[in-house]
Amino acid sequence: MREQDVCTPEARYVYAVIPRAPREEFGPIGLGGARVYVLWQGEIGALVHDCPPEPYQGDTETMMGCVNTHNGVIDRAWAEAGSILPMRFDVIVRPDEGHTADENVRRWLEEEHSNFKIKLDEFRGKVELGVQILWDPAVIASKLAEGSEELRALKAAMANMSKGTAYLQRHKIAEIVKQEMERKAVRDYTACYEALSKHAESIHVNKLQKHDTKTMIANLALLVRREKVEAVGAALGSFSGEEGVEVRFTGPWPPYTFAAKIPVAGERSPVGQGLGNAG
Amino acid sequence: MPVERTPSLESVPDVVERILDRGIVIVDREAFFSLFRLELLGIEAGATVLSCDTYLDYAEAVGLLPLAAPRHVTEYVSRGGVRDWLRFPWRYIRIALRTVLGK
Repeated sequence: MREQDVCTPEARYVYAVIPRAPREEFGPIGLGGARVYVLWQGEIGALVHDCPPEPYQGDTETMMGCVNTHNGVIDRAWAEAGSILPMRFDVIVRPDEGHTADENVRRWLEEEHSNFKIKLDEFRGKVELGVQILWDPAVIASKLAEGSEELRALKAAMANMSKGTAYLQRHKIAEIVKQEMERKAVRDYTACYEALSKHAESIHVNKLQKHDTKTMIANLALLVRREKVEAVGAALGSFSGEEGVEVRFTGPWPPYTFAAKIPVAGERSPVGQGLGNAG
Repeated sequence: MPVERTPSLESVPDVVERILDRGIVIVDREAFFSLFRLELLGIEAGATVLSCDTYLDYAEAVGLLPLAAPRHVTEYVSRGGVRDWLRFPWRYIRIALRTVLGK
């Protein structure tokens, strides 16, 4: 961990943006037990703690602890404020020439005020859910093969073939299995997406993750009204019964994925035209 | 049967994925650090490994269908695009083949 004693806590670690709420002190729940509080600007505020102007870093164990703490702070504030725009890990605002870190945070909030306010209103009463579909490829392949007359015939024919021809036949079978699996993946993915879109306000398609023993065929983030969470679980029921198919359903999450899609000024304007040079 | 939901705090890989890869991030502003450096981590969380190497794979990994366009999937398939989407690694195909051929 960093050495707090040798650095001045002149910067602000930002956890999230929240709508104005009665509470502005969250106590020592931040990274390293830091006191978390809110810097208000108009109708919105930034959830921060004081820190030296340098990133948090460390070994895996330390970082996992930090990630969990970051998530915990956001969960607490989300429960309190009813809506939240979570920041990614390790976003730190520092002072610069002529401005304290607090001024920079407030100027950022002011600049993004209407943008953030609209999203905070939109996300109120909604949660993010994660849905992943994972296959056991061997099980799926053997089931496809059992069900395919073509594959059964190709396999049976191998018995009477010379070594060389059987080798080629093997390749042919492999190619067919692969294509069948791809077709099934698209079918299952499409069916799942369509079933979920009935319950979700928005769906974000995430990249598929690598997995040691399984193949991921869908990795979705859903933005749903809180009261529809159980309906999503029920809708997923029709996909989970199949042998070799695992459906992972996680949440409710603060809207991490959907907050990430908000365009903020830093991404719109070129370097140097941001807070550092303004006013 | 409804699928049982895993509460967010009990799913470490999902927590890591969201906090390190999602959420608002501010870039290119002098007053901001946004210095999460993935290469500093070799986070091994359950079955999902997010270390630098795997992250690079992960970043360009299979996936990323056109957003909100499941009905275009068929079209995508017919253009042969599905191979980019679902690159079944050959080791899976080999496993599958062994299962199919019983060898």
